Amino acid sequence: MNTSELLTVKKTLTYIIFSFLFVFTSTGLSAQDSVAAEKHSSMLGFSYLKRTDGVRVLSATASAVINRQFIPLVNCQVRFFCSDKEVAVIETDNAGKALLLIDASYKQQCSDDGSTEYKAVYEGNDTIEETESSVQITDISLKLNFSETDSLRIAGAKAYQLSPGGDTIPVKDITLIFAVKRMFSNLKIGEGTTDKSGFCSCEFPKNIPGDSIGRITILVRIEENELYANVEASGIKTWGLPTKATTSFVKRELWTEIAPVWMIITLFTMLTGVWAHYFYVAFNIYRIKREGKKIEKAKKEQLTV
Amino acid sequence: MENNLDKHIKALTPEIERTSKWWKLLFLLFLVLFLTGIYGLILQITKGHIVTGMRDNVVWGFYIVNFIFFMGLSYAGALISGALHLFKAEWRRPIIRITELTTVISLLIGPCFILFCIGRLDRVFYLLMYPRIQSPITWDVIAISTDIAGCILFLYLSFIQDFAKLRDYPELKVGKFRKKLYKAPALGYQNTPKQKHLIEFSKNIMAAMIIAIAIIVYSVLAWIFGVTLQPGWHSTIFGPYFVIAAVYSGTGLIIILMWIFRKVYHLEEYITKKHFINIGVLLMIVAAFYGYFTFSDYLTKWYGSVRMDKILIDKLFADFYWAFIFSNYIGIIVPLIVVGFPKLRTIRNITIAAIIALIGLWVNRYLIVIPTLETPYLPIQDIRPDWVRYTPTWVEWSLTIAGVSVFGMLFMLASKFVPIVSISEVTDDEKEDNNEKQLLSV
Repeated sequence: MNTSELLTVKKTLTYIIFSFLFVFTSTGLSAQDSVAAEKHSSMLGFSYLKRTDGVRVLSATASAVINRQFIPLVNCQVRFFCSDKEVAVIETDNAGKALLLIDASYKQQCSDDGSTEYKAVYEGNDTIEETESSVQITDISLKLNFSETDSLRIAGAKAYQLSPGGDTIPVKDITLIFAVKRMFSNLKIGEGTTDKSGFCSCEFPKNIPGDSIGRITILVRIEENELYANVEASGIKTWGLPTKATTSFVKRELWTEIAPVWMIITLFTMLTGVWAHYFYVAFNIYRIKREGKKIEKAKKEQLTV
Repeated sequence: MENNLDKHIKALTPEIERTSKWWKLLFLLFLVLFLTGIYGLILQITKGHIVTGMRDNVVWGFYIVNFIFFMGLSYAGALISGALHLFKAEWRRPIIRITELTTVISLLIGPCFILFCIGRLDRVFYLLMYPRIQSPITWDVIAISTDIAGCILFLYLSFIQDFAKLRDYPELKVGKFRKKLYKAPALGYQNTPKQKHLIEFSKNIMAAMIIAIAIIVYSVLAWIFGVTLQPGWHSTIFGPYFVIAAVYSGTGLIIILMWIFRKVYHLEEYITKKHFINIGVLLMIVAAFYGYFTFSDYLTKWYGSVRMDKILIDKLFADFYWAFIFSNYIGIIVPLIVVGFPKLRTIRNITIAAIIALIGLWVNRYLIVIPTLETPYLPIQDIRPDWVRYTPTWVEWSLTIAGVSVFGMLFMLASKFVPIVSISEVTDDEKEDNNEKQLLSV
């Protein structure tokens, strides 16, 4: 091959390598290139939950729509408002979520119909549009009570509102969901609608596993209601079946006090095999030295003779 | 024969007899870099790991990357030297000393990085006092110490004959003390048939042993990752993948060292283009295997679409894009092309390919360790964002460079004490050639 042919081959190879790299660098795996071009629309998921202890949890999840995908907006500031009054500015976490916990003692302003507006605002930046989301909530409370007659266990709940004077006003026709708290989610056990006195109950099953002495956390919830959003109350009862925790971990050899027999046998067989060879080789080295000494001694004897 | 022996000793010992100005300067440079690393280490011990980039999420940083990398170089040296010796590959003779020294020196440096990673160095002896056989860390301690013992024994066996030759060579211009230093470890070796047989037999045993141990030890190291439930690590393929990757990086390093010593010590007569091509072909074959394993590993993870694996792969193609491309595309394709096309097989090209492969492998180790730790199954709640991402500090860089410097210094010191090309191997080669010629003439 002459020089010009060699140059052609080199050029072709360079072309192939660069083409290859170009293909792999331009597959659009990174969305960063298109980000700077125009503002992306954003969304703010917003939810309200009133807990048993009266704390109201406001959760705002900010995301941008980039290449038709919802990308969480991380470390962005979300402003929370309660009846148009700014109550907090919270930075989103890695999932784009900002959480605000409003203490039960906080007195929020109500509108004429007794409701309160909660609002979350993300003001956007150079590349992301601003967005906001709000909910209008009427305050309501739930109170759980438990009764046991013969072998019948009843979980009941009362839904009520507080008047400005502090009196309780029952709330009727509200759907309540009864559930038991499990490790990852709630196990629904019954559902009902409140009567005129704001009361609703359900029979509690006897076969729900509890902890070692049968304790379980029973919940009653209002879920996704137009007026009240999410409200819950909970209580602990020993209505579950006592459960002795059996975990596969105790059978896992790596967590036991002593290694499994097969592991000990394998390790010691291998180590013995390897180190036996080492010692044999070390012995051979000693034999080489012994042979050397013999030769040296013979040479000395020859010299003295 | 004796004249030939004299010729070889004369050709291979000048660097033992004299120390050039460049040698001293380079050694001084390595020493300064090493001392900088020591300063960094002192700072780390006194102030704690806060001086490093390691935090709650990424608890393994540069140190573990370097540990895997150096151990890989060592196992590759062991596998290559053991295999070449066992299969009696004739072309091995001038380069086998380099592979053996690579094995032992890397093996001495690698475990030091584990110590740098430990927060409570005062508790290291607990590993020996209270070992738990069921712990992969204990497997590693046992395996590495067994490997060090075996590799040192194998290296020493190959030194004995050269020590004897240097001891008996009257024209060797070194001090009396150095002469004495050769005498003791030469063990009174006189090249008798019995002594020769014992050495050859022992070398064969140790060659077989260190091949097996190298595979087991590097697999054990891979299993430390493989048995851990972390995205990207929990893989059955990790054992053989690590072994292949180790051979790949080690082969690259051996080519680079061959090029350096050939140039600096003027060993063109001994380390020829043939050696570069032969070991380059090995690099190419291993590159193909390594590429295959890499592809298999990522393909199954990507296709499986397990959420965390998907996040990890997305992260590799976003935050670590160029590192991923360099390590897993360029680092594999370049050696394949350079050695694959006979026209491109020059000493320079093969060495450049080896450098790319070696750096690519280090980056690959980084990509195995860091992105996974930045993608935990159970993220720590409300952790500071700057603690999730890992960025090495100057302390980690200084200790990494110190590790490379110690490698250089130990290689330089070794080359001052024994010839970098084994005299006994080269002269044995000629003896066998002569025997073959005699047989043919008969």
